[in-house]
This record gives sequence, C-alpha cells and structure tokens, in this order.
Amino acid sequence: MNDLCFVYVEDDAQSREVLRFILQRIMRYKHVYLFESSQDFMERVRHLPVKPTMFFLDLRVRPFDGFEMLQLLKNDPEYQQTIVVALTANVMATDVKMMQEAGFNGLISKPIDKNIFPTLINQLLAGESVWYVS
Amino acid sequence: MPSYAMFTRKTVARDLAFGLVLIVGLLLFVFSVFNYVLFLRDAEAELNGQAKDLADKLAEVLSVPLWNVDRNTVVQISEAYLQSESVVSVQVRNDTGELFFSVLTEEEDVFRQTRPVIFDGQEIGQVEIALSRQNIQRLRRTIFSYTFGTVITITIAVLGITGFLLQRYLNQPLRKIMEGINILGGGNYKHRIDPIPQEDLDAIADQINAMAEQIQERDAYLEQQVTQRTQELAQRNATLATQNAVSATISQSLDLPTILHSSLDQILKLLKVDAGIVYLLDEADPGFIKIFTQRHMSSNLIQHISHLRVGQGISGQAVEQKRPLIMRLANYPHQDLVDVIRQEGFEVLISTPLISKNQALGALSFATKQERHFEEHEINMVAAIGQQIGIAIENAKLFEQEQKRAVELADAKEKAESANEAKSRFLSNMSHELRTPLNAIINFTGFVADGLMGDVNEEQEDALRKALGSGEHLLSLISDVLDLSKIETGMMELFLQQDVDLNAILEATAATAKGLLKNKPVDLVVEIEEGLPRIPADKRRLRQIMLNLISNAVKFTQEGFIAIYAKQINGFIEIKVQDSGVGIAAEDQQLIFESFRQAQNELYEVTGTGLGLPITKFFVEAHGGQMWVESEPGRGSSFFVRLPTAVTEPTI
Repeated sequence: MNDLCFVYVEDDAQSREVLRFILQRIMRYKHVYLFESSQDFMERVRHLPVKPTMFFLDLRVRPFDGFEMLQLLKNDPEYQQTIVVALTANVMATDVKMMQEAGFNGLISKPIDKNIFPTLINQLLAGESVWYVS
Repeated sequence: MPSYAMFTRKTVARDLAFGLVLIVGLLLFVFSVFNYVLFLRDAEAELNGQAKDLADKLAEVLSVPLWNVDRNTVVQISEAYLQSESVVSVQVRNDTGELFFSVLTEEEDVFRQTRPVIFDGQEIGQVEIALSRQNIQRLRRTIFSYTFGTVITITIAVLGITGFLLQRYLNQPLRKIMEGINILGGGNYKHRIDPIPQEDLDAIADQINAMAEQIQERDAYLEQQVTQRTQELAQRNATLATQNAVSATISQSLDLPTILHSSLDQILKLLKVDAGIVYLLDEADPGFIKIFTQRHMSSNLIQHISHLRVGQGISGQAVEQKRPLIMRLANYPHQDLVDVIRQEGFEVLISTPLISKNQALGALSFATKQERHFEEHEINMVAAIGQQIGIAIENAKLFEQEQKRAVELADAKEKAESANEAKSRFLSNMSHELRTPLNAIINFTGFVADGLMGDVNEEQEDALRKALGSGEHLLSLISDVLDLSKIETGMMELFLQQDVDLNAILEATAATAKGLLKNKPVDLVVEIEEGLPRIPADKRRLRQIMLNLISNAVKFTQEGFIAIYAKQINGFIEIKVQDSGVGIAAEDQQLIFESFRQAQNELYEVTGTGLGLPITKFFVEAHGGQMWVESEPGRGSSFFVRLPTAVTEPTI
C-alpha cells in the first residue's frame, strides 16, 4: 500500500503543506508529490519515479486550470484510468455538474477538514466517486 | 278522333259525355220498352179477335152440314179453315160428342176458341179452333232486336259525337292551357297561351298569360336587382380585399415606410385613381404636414404641395377636420394651387386623415383625371384605412420607443450583471484568499494540538485549542459574510441531493450541542420521531441550518434546558429547537431575521455577526420550507423549521 502515489497541484504553499501532512504524517503514505503550478504538467507527471495513483487538482492553477489538466490526463492512455479529484474552495451546484461531466472522479471542497479527509481518500481508492462539499 | 284515354281518365269531358249518353240511352230505353209493350198488346188482341171471328164463322158454316150429318162437307170446311193463317188445330163434334173432324196440335202457346154449333135455335154440336201465337213470338223477337239495335246505335253515336265535340271544344283547349301552365311552371315565363275560340276558356288563358307577364316582369326586376347586388358585392369584396390586404400589411409590419408604400399602392389599384400622396405631420415644424411618398405626380406639382399648412389644400383640410373629404378642382380651397393641379389634369380629389386616438397624424390623398363618383363604401374604405394607418403609425412609434427602451434596459441589465459578476468574482476570490491561509492556521494549529508534531503540555494544548476555536469562529464569520453577499447578489445556489437522511444530521447536531453544553447547567432533550422520510436537500446547508439554531440556543441559554424535536406533518418535516433562555420580545421577533440585526439584549454578552438567522431563513425558504419563532422574554424561545418531504418551488 505504500506504493500508492499522490500528486497535488496547488499554488498555495500552506494548502500543499496541509495536504502533505495529512497524507504523509496522518495517513502514512510515502509518495506525495506537490506541484506549485501546472507548468510542464504532463512532462513532470511522466518523470515521476512512481506512477501516480491519484491526482488532486486545484481548479484555479496556472497556466492550465484543473479542467485542462484533467483533459491532458485523459488524452494520455497511460493515465486515463487514474483517479482525478478536484480540490477547490467556493463550489457551486452548477460547478459540480460541470466537474461530473468533465470526468472528475470526485470533488473535495476546501478548506480541507483533517477529520474527514482520510475517509474520503479511502472511498476514492475503493473506486467510489466522492462529491464532498463542506 | 276522340282519344280512348278520354274515357278512362276521370275528366270533365268524360263525365259530360257519359252523362249525356246516360240520359239519351235512358230515354230511348224507356220509349222502346213502352213501344214494344203496346205493340205486343195490339198483336195479341188482334190474334185473339181473329180467333173469335174464325170460331164464330166456322160454327155458323158448319151448322147445316152438321145437321145433315154431311161428314165430307164438315171435313172440307174444317180443312179449309185449317189452312187459314195461324190456325193450327180444328175439332168438330156433334151433340153426342162424336168427332167429325179433329186436327190437334202439340203447341201449347195457342189461342183456343170453342163455339156451339146452332141449328134452328138448337145446339147440335161444338167446334174448337186454336190459333198459334208463334207469329207473335217471332214478331216480338224482331221488334225487340230492332228496338234495342236502334237504342244501342243511337247511344254509341251520341257518345261518339259528344266525345268528339268535347275533345275538340273542351279538351283540346284545356290541354293547351295545361301545356301553357306547364311551360310557365317550368320557368319559361316568356311563353304565352295562344288565343282559344271559346270565350270562357280564353278568359282563363288570358288570366294565365297576364300572370306570366307579371312573373316575367318581376323576374326581370329581380334579375336586375341580383345583378346590381352582385356587382355591388363584387365591388365591396374588392374594397374589403384591399382593406384586408392593407390591414395585413399593417399588422405584419411594424415598419412604417413599408406600411405606407404598400397601402398607397393597394388603394391606387382598387380605386382606379391616377395619383396618390401620403402626408405625415412635420415633426420639425408643428402645424404643417410634409410629403412622405407619392405616386404619379410631376416634380413640379410635388414642389408646390410637398409641404402644406394644416388646413391648406384638401389634405391639409382633411387633417384639420379629421374626416374624409371629396372635392372637384373647381371647389379647391386654395386658388394659388389650383393652376398647378389643373396642369396635371386632375379633376376630382379625395383625402382622408390618418387618425389615431382622435389625433390626425397625416393624410392619404388621391386624384383622378376623369370626372367620377366615389361610392360610399369606397369612401368608407379609404377612411377605415386612414384610421388603420393612423394606429399603425402610433404602433410603429411605440415599437420604436419600446425598442429603444429595451436596448437601454438591456444595457442597464448588462451593466448591472457585469457589476454583479465583478462583485461575485471578487467575493469568490475573497473567499479563497481569506479562507486558504485561515485554513492553514487552523489545520497546523490542530496538528500541533493533536500532538502530531511532538508532545505539548496541558497549558500549551489549552492555548492551542483557544487559537483553534478563534480560527474556526473567524472562518464561520467569513463564511456568513460570504453567504449573505451571495444571497444578496442572487448568486447563492443550493446543491440539492435527493434522499438526504435528516436523522444523521439531527444526531450530529445533537452531538455538537452536547459538546457545546459540556460546561453549562443546561439539559439537552432530543425527541426525533421514528421513520422520518429522506428528503431532497442540500446537506451542507441543512447542517448549517441546524448548527445555527443550536449555537443560538446555547448562546442565549445559561441554565434550564435545550430541546430538539422533529416530526412529520402533512408533507413536511417540522423541526423545533426550544430553549429556556432569555427569550425574544415580540417587537424583536421579526427583526432577528433581518440582516445585521441582533435583538438588543443587555443581560448577556453575545457575539456574532447577526447574520446567522437571516441566512438560515434564506436556506429554509430556498428548500421550499418555512421558518418562524415563538418566544416570550424570560421564558425562552422556540424556533420552528418546516422542510418539504418532496421537491417544491422555493418559497422565497
């Protein structure tokens, strides 16, 4: 289970650190990669030492936003089946519908609640889709 | 020849003929019978007389030979008598009854005469003679045949002659009359019955002819009327068609030039007039009308009449008087224009105002080069079209204004929307920008307080928990402000899910309440009805509603109890959060649901933005539910929330 690999694309350093802390210190996963932007996104994904199990994409990152990154992943046969979760603050009902249609496996609204986050990750790993708006 | 049919059909001729024949036949018959009876009686009498004579004479001539018993002579005489006409039997006997002569006959129908034979006053014998009646019978038959033959012959002759006469003098004329009537009845009222020699029948024929004449005249009159009406109708139809065409143009188009050009052309065609012109009020120069368009007018004329004072010329007058006008050039009201118009060859002018709401907005005028009469329906049509165009002008103006207003509105709306969008974008950014660092503070404080980053002592943990509590409070305040902003900009949307389990949310709420009441002498009562249905709801907002109610109750209750009740009532779930707290004065009970208000309460220190209840009420109503409060100061408050169990329209 320690082969699992998580990628989080997020421009806010504090948020990156919170997620890293939860995944590594609380949930004890080894491979957690944090991208501060979506520059050379696919390039960097392909050069990771371990193939990612799950992506967390902030929807407002530059130069590619969350939807564009999702599309890049879906276009690559290698990553088509990888779990992709949107992470965003301030979600609206219409946004959720858009995300579902775009092909996200789930949504977790920010701020991240450390008490619930692990449960959601386990549900996603079990193959469920998760639409969590706190 | 009289037709056979004459006697089989029940006709006057037949009845007359039969009557006549009956009378003649009857007379003849009676006469013949009388004649016949008389004749037979005479013949009988004569035969009877003859028999008596012969008997007398025979008795006389046989007296001597019988006395002398001279048989031969008796036989000779007797045989001689036997030779007489009709004598069929003779018998002679003497007084002793001895037969001297006897020839008998087998005939029974005879006259028999017996005589005594007298000699010297003494009866010496008896003779009997019999005469046959055969002759009479024969005669009777002859007379009978003759008489009845005559009767029948005469009868038939009378019948024939009568028939012929009736046929000729009654039947034929009658048939002629009948045929005449038939022809007339068939609709040929030109037909006349030829004169008939019989005056009485001729009178009938005359009457019928007179009647036919009248019908023919009336027919002709009616036909003429129909023709006239048909023509009128055709004209009126043409007029109506034009009017309809114009109406259609007017109703289909809001474009004024299209309406005016097409109306002008259509009326020109219908009225068969030579020229036409449309004037509209000159907006730049009140009190004047200005040419809008014209047909078949020379530039010279147009130059003179393109701009007229209201009241000037026929068009100006129509506008002034607001009624259609017709005039000959000779009566034209402005001498200065008459010459120019005459040069065009116009004779009759007609003009109608374009009227809307009793205001003349222009005029529609026409001119003809020939003297002609305008029918009333033509004038009416022109007037009606004038009114329709007037309304169309009004509509076109309204439409133009409306369009302008719509553009302005759209502009304003666009501006408002873009302003709103900017606001909403700003709020969204703010949400992100404020909450992200706050979230990091809360999370890391939490990690440290939880001992995940090394041991902390009790005092440190206590301080960290306080920092954490303040952080979370700040986060909720920020959320409230953002929620309210979204509500006020209309950007707040529910994230509705079907089948939300209210039980779970209520239990979580109860748990939170328990935590909050840990250090207060306040009892918590929870009564949730069994089997509450799942409802369509936004889970997150539902949690928010419950947390708000509970945190309010905790905030304002220092001792006593807090109770959470939930039950199902007619398509709703009613949740009641009751407390034994400070209560709310009647006059404040509405205010607490208004933004930025919090009931003035000096007894207790209260914190908060005062946004919780307005936001909560908004979410309840966005779910199609209702929210209200019942309270008495000093005795506590009960907040009620009703949520529909099926999807409904929001109640806000």
